[in-house]
Amino acid sequence: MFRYQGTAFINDHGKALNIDGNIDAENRNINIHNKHGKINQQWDLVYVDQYPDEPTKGQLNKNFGFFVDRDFHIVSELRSHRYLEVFNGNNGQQPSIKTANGNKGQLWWFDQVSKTVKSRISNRSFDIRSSGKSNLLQLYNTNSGWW
Amino acid sequence: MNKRNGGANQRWKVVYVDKAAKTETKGLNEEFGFFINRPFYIRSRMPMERVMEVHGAAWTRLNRWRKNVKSQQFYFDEKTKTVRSNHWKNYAIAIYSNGGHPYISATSGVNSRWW
Repeated sequence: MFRYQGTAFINDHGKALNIDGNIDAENRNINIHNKHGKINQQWDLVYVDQYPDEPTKGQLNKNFGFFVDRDFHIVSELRSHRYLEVFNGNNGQQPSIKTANGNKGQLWWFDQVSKTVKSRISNRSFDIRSSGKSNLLQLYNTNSGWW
Repeated sequence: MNKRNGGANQRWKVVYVDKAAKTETKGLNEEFGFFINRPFYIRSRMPMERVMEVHGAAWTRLNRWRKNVKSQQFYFDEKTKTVRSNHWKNYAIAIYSNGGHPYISATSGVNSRWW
């Protein structure tokens, strides 16, 4: 038996619902662990009749700060105001800054399903290389991993 | 039978049927923190705000919220004081292997025990 207390689902022995390994990924197992209160044990209980609809195309996702499926440029605030660009958006390709040129490689959009920023040229997503352990940004097949 | 020890396991009260409280079918159970029989999602506070989902009437996993998917919905059953799947309604959330395992699952053997 579980109680909902604060943000935890917890039983009388102090065991709480816990996302295994603190990894926010699809199909991650949910297990039980001594309560420690970190974010992988924090839950909202949201009643179905009160669950907000997700934003659709053209609507703002307030949590992420993007309009859904609406093309945008990513413009540097450095003096030349160059645009973030990928050549063809292949897996592993690193973006660079280029002068605005109207190419699709400079177009980006926010995908509501995966909650990722994607390139319009290949529909691959922003990703941090080496599963988040590198400081290199790349495009990669969408996996929604939150490194 | 055992020798009297006065513990909670030996204390009883007689409740006449006409005075017995009925099992509530709606409203808030303040002790457990749930509204009775009202379906809900268990949504993670991690950045993707995924929800708990029961897979194959067994394992519980983290998945992206999908509208009207009942395997992602749960409700509180006042009679058994368990959280149940809204898809497999006779399945309650329990700690696997009678509490001897770190995983939780949905089980049809609702027994209300505290592992």
